[in-house]
Amino acid sequence: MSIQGHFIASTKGRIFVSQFGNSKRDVAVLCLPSIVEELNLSRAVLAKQCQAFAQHGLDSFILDYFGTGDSEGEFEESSFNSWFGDVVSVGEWLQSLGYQKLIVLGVRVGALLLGVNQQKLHAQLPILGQIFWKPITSGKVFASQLIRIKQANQMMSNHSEKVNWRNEILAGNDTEIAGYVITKNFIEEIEAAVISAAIEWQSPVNWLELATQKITPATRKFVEASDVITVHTVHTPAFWQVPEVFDLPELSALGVTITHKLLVEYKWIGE
Amino acid sequence: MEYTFTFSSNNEQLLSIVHPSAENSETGVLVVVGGPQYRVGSHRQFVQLARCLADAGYTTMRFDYTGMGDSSGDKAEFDNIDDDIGAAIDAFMQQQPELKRVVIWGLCDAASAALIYAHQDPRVKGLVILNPWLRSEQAMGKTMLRFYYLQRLFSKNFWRKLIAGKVDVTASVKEVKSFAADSINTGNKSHQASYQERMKKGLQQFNGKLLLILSGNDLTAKEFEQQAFTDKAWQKIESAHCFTERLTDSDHTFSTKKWKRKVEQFTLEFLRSI
Repeated sequence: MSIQGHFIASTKGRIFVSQFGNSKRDVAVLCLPSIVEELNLSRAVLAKQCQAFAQHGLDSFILDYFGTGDSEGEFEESSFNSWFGDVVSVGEWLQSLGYQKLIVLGVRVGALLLGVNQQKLHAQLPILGQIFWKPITSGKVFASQLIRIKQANQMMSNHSEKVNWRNEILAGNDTEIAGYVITKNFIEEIEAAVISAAIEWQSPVNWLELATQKITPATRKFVEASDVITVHTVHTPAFWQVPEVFDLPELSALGVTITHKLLVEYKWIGE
Repeated sequence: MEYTFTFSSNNEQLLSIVHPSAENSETGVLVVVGGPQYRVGSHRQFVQLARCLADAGYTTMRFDYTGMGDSSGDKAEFDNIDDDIGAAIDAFMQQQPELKRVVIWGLCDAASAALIYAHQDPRVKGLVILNPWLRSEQAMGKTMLRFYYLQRLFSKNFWRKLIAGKVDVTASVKEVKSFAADSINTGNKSHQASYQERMKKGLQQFNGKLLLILSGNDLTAKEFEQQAFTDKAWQKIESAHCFTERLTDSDHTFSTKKWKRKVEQFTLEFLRSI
């Protein structure tokens, strides 16, 4: 199993892609990570999943959106809407390498990006199936969680004046939250990103509920509204938020089972 | 232009990113990753640092040690990555043949790892260590003895429970004894010396220069400072080859632009002195 990195051209500059495995079979997995510290904290777990895919002959790739991870640019120069362009750039690059079909795996905001671009995604790339890790279905919820970090930090540093940070950012005052500069544009775009339960999924979805033992009512709505969603619960730690989790073999094994099933269903491999 | 390559260490594959400087620098910087982070660093600090150093003339490399980030294998303990650091320096110098010396840069337990490694490798001429991880069981033992067990011994509730037979006396006494022993003994462990001892020895035997950067708002930094600046065995930290910079308001990971730029500036000034 080989591990390599690549810098490839995208819309705003060069973005970084990690590659696990080099079997050059017809299908590859393309992973869309989360953002800010969630991207960092979940990295090793996602990489271990990719290593498990590769050990089962399925080459897999993780991209860093422009302004995130090892890609060029800064977070404040990037934009939620432009990140979809990065996904398409990497998808096209993978096709140029000879991969005919892709399975996409979205972690948190990565799943949101796949959901809100569902039609475009399937029109532009040959997607065989989708895997979501604890998807975010409302960008607004993610944004408010981010803003809450700022509020908590301010409370801890004994600032008595209460600031409405969302209004502050929306008024055009860029604000650092947990080491990232958050702009008006970022808040507006991510708050507008929402996946409704009525969405028409364009390929099979394997929805992984993580860090819980039962399906939440919010997820149940999505599952009941669609016949292409399969939901799985895995009682993992919330590894995208807590440090010191590097490997979740049970989660990796489930990923391998799901992709194997997808490949069999689509007759890319035998039983 | 930044590029990536994979090298091996004990049969594991480690992914790295190199930021070459246009100026053919002879001094390269190797960023070692610590804590739960991978080569990007909290809030991209290591990416931004590497770009800044490369722009200023110092080729820089970041990598994931065994089991971290994208690299293969089970995650190694921070005090057991000498082979990975050595392999990283080999790969770095092979990739960038103009390099004659290396400075290791590390935050938290990577700073500890750098201190443990550096003296064994003559190519390492400098260390930049930020908020080094130096947890002391003895200090912890003392704290526990003072604040917890003694308090418990004097609490009415404890005696009430004791009289009612609800306290396992043997276990309690054993526990207190073991904490008391920890607080008195000075690391007479039969197995490999503790990482604290190896850090201390590392500093004593290191012949290069050292820059220590401490955050004011960070318990790890405070704990290091309390031990290293009071223990005679650490006195080299105050010698002419060791420099200390303090960022009074900063948190453990330098989580604002202002603090990140300050760290870059301190690092650059130090590199120019190598």
